[in-house]
Amino acid sequence: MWCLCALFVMPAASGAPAADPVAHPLTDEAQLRSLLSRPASKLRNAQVLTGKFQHSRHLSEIPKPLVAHGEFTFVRDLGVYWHTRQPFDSVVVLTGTGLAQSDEGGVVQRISADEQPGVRLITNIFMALFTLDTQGLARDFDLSGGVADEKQNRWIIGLKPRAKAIAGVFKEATVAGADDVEQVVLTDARGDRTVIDLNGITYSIDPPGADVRALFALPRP
Amino acid sequence: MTPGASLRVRFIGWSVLMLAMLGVFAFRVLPEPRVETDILALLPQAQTDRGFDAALDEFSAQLARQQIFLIGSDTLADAKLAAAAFANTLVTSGAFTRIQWQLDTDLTQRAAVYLAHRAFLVSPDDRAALEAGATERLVRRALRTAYTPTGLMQPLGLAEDPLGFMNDFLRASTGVAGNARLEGNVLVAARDGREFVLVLIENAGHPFASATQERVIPAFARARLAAQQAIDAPVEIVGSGAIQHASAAAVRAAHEVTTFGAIESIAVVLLLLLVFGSMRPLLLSVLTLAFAITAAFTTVHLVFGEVHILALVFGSSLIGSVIDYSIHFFADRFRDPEHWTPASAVPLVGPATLLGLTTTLVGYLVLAAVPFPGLEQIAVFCMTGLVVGCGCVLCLYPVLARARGKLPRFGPVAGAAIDRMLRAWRWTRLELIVLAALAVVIGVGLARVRIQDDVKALQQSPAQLVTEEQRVREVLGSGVESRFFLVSGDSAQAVLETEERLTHALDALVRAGDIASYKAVGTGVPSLELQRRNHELLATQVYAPGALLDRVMTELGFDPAAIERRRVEFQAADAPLPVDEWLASPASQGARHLWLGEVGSRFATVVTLGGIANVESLKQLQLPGVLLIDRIAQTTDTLSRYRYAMTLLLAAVYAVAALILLLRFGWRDALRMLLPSVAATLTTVGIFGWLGVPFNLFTLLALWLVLGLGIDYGIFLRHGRDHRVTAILSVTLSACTTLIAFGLLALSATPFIRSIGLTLLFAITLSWLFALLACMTENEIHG
Repeated sequence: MWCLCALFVMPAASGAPAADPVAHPLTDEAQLRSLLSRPASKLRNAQVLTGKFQHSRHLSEIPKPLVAHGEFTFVRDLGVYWHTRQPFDSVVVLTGTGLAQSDEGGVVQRISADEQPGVRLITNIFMALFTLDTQGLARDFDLSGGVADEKQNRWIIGLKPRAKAIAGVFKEATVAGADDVEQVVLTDARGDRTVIDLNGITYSIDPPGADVRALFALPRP
Repeated sequence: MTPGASLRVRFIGWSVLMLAMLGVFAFRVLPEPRVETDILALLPQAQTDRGFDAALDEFSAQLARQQIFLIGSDTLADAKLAAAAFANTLVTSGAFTRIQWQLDTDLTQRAAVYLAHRAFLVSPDDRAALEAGATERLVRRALRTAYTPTGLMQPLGLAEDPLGFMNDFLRASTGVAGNARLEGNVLVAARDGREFVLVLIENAGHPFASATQERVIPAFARARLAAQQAIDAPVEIVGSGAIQHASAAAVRAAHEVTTFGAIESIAVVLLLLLVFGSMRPLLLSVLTLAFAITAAFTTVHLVFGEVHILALVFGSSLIGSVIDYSIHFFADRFRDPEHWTPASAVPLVGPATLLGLTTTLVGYLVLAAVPFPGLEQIAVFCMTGLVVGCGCVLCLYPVLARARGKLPRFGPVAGAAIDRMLRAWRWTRLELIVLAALAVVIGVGLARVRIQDDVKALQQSPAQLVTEEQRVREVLGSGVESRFFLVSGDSAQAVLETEERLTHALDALVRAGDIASYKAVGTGVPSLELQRRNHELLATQVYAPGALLDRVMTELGFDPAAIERRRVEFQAADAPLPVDEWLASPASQGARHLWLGEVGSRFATVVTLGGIANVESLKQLQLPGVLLIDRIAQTTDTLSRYRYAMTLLLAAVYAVAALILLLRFGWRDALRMLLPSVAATLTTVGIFGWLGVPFNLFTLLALWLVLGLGIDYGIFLRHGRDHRVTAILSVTLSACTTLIAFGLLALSATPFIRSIGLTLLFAITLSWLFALLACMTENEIHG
């Protein structure tokens, strides 16, 4: 099952060579850490990450993917600020306790992580991705993966949710990259995929300034 | 017939009567004794449905069986390990019907039944939006789901639920109580940087049954240990639920009863041996008491079909005064130790005993005339017990109470000493001024008395359990709440419709912060009426050509065939979700116990509440077919009504007793005989006012006992004028046995037992003192 999906997923992943993470099973945490040592060393001291993203959804019933662009800011201990610019302006703020979303400035909705099981799950995945916290991921997922391309130092890891309740939300995910995390692919039970490409990532070891902190201080609805 | 022969006839006749009574008790009562323990059964019977009450009782009992445990540690992984060890240990004990810390159905299974009826289900928020025509908001939501990570967090993907109606319904219908969240398949709550895993438990039996406690409490101890050993990090385990309180109370009560009971028995035996120099008076007294209680129990059981626990407790202590009849009888021997025969005591003790009995019986007749079911039982219980007790003393003792051996000197010496003091007493102006000053102080004390009917305050739990309970509320925002709403109607659908009106009102209370949450079946299975409205809204606002569905799906780039498929699916779905199907599906897991279904001639369901912050706001919710069930408040209210009624009755009985004594002895003597108990009662309550001891139903129980005993003191002292020492000794002895039997209860840690003990300690001492001063001192005022 995993092989099929991986085959299906990988060619669509732009820029990344097709690779099956299961062909290079890597369940040992030490190996996993050494595989991710380069991006992880950059992340270790980073307090703030910024970059651009492309968020595309591939549905079998829609001929061309739904593509969104924007910028993100990750702040350690605060969360992720996800600002979609195209096709419309929308902000999603993910923190440890839940998410808040606003369109064109006004807060639309605030969902506490307690209210919707998927919220904490996705929040955790996002947090873990930006920190490449394999220990944190290993708590909820079976990890697999390996070297995708020796020459270009590319790697890929697969995540398979362990608990049944999470499996209801999505079935599996892959994370791929070289020096940075470059691409995340999430596949749901129907086989519909969400592909997130990250680029132009900058790292800052300085604590976030007041302007950055303000991004996370969304007013209550 | 000689007097001796007539005594023998009486003895045989009474013995036959007692044997017959024992026979009835053994064959009619003992095989199937019914003792009612629910305080609420004492409420005057309203016209209620028997089957309905049974269903409510069952639900209350189920609430009482429930417990919540929180297993906490610094990391969630550790907490889960500890919770697993805790739960597994409980499972092996077999003392529980449910131990849940992991959900065994996943979201897909739970969503299946809703998906099958999705054409009829809309969340309250979405319904409001559709009704208001606020479609713009719904379009934006759909686009956000498609283009941002929020879409990833929905249980159903974009293709399965392009407009998000089903996702929002699932979110609204699977609410978790309090601050808990569903993490994976485990319920989790966090507080102070610590993660807690919830373990929900239901005991296999009633929490107050000792058999349940014996199985459950050791299982918890083992489970706590197992959880602590499962991980290296420290574990915090706190629980909330009735059984631990019940068990703590039972253990303490048992401990007190054995300790106090042993001390009391030894003390009474020693006292009676010291005074009478023989075991016979003691054995006969115990036999008399046993007959009296058995006869009273049998009569109440035959008359009412059951015996209420309150009648048993009150009645048994009240007819404790038959012990005094025995003591008065035996004390008569001191009148003439050399020539005394039991037969010679009858003409002297008999009239006084009968007069005492008459006044007390009149008191209980008044009690029986009040239409409170509990009071009728208490009255019948006491009257039977007292009559039987008195009969035993007057019919059996003349034959059984043989005067053998020498009487010890201790009794007469003590009696004579008291007599000398009383003879020396002079009522001077000083004493009267002190008395008047004391009366003022007592009067102020009476004004300060704090009345307490709260049933919770009458049963105090150990501090550690109370702290745990608070901690659970702090972490979870809610504990096991005993208040709930009962919704009833003529049909299942009528019930659901009424429940919708109630939950609409409760939503406002949640917003106002009066309650944290509620749980109702209607969030999962709306009434057919509401489902029809949902369907109509969806048909006109969403699935109609050119409406929301077309707009959103076209904008997202779905091809027309995909849109048409969904429209056809919607039109093909013509069956709303019926209650039965929902109940049988995994979706109702965790809520189906709320549905009581067909009960008697009606249908009913229950809405439970979480984190109640404002009880008044709940009481103000008045809707037809909706009833706030508050067992604690109802119990408190019942106790309060009984306390009120019994206070008035106590005053009435004193008035009636005054009348009887007035007719028999004239007002001067009647006053001397009655005033001591009245003064002792008022003084005791006044002292309680100053000491801050609350006044409750059990204080009153003790005061009723004081009424009977105090009047007897007066009557016996009045009758014993010609034999002062004997009379004083007799009254002093009965006061001492009562003090020994009940006085130690003042040390009890159980508040209501302490109330009885404290009241009797003060009131009996004062009655005795006042009675001696009133009846045995010089009448004239000197100085």
